[in-house]
Amino acid sequence: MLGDLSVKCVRWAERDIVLAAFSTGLAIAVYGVVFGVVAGPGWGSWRAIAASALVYSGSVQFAAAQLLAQGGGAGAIISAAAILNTRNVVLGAVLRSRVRTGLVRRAGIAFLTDDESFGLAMASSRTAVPVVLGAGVIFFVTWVGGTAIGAFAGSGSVLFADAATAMFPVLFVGLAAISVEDRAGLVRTVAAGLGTLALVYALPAVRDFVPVAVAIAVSLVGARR
Amino acid sequence: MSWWLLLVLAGLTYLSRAAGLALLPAPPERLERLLARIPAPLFAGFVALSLVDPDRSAASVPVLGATAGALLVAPSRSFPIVLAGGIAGYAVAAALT
Repeated sequence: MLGDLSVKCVRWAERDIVLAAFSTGLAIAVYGVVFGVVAGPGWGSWRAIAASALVYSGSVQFAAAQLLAQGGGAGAIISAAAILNTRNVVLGAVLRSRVRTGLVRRAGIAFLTDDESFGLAMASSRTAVPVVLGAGVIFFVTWVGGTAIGAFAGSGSVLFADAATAMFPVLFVGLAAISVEDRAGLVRTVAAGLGTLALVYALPAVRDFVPVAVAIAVSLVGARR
Repeated sequence: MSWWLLLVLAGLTYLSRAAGLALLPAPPERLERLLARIPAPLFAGFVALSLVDPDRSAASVPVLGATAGALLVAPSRSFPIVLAGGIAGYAVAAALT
């Protein structure tokens, strides 16, 4: 792997971005189905679909469904959502340098900025706005559509959940591979992967924050040079 | 799940996404250089997160196989090849289990 690092900071072509967006969209649809199956019976089908359309965040929605099922109150759910959402601030700040446009447009595309559209926008050779919009619309439609299928069709529709689970690490392996710029970057990336693996195992209660915290930590190493 | 709670969750999530991207001032150059180094380690962290379930058990063998397959061909830096590697890894691991 080290031998290939003579290639500096490549970006994916439009064809690769479209392929990644559609294949990831399929995986997101399956997760939407799972959410619909989980939340539909307790929340009501239309409210589960509205949650996917308005909140549009798998981690927040699954956390809310789990807390509600365990009898958690509004305070606990809002606190969990606030904590889970803090990483979005970091993703937005990282993405900002590739979104050279006005405040209104940036505020508009913010709704569609999730982990996956962020990754594709950072990987694209184009400016980030059309990528976030294009991929974001695909992900939004598949997430809400999947939720509707799950909410109305029920548990018989989650047969492909394991295959969908496999799509996310594959996507992020691809995104990490093209984001590495040099040998030092490769070392930081491998360290972040291994460090996250260890910390997620050791501290499962804060697992959602670990990738951002570790990425910031390894990026600080040598940053002053 | 009440409607007002749903709207609060939607508002919180949107504000968190808009904060870094639109609402907060642009970061100074030094911070921007640091932020530019974050994506690759962050993506690696997301990969790691996918491999451990919330109950600390490992992901299923096919998911681990898909990740291994993708990692093997990651030096190609091409998404179609990484995707093919992931599918092949998933299929091999699923066939073996």
